[in-house]
Amino acid sequence: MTLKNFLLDLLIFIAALIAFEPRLTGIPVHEWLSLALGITLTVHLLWHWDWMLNVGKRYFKRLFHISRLKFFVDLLFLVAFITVLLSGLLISRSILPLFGIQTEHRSIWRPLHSLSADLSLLFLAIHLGLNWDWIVCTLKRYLWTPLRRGFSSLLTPSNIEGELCPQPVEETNRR
Amino acid sequence: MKTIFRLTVIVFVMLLIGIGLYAAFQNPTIQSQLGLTSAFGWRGRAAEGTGELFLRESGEQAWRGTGNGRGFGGGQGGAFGRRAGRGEGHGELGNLPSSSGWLGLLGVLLRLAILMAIVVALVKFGRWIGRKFKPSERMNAQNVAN
Repeated sequence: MTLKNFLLDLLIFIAALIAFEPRLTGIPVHEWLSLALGITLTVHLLWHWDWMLNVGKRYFKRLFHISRLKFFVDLLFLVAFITVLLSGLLISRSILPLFGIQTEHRSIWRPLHSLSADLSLLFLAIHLGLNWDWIVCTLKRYLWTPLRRGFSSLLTPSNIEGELCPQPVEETNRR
Repeated sequence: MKTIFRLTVIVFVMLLIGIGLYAAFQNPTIQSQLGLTSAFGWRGRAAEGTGELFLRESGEQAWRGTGNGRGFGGGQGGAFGRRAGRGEGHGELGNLPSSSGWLGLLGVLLRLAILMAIVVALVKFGRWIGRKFKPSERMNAQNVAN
């Protein structure tokens, strides 16, 4: 599950980076990629259902815990991301016109799209920063250690065990 | 079955948030309170006010666009050239990829890295403070004994 999580998160991260810069791909790819990002984000939420439920149910029991901060940031991130998707759809030049729906280009949704995209980037950074230990540990486990093992087996046959990422009690279901 | 239920709940919550946001931002009272008006848009008005400054700056900073962009919502000037201006005189993002996109991506990565570094540093500092001021077990035992 951790590997699956890691691969999905990596995919979301790369797609988000590309989607954040529409000049890189042009508008049609930007719009379709963002929509696909919305779907993968839903899968991401689905895979972290237990964690969301665990923290959500006991949110006020132990308020000053980092998992509460993570939950709050994730909630804000979700709202910001939905705003990006919604405003993006409402000013869409590729997706909605494809279905015969004309969009309003000079509406309030345009500044809102830009503002919510900036906020999403901020919340993404906080989200990654708060999960930094897990990211580093998983990178070591699935990228660094196999690479090192590959190199060392070329020189001397050794068995380097992958590290197990530390999992706080309340976050057991998250990983 | 469980997965379908969970998926339905997630999609429902997302739709609910989306509908709520749509209703809120379409409300004229909220629009005026936030300074968002459909005629110009606050960034549009900001662009109108500071167009000259950003027009000059846009020539120097590639990621801001190269001028002549139109501010979001209709304001004149290149204030938000990074997203709206492409320097071709019409200020709209094109359907085709632009080579300046790579520079933009670098900008996004840089912003992300700086923000992440700040958050990681704050978390580590918080943990260090927590460890520093956490009463030790020996002190607790002494307090209990007293």
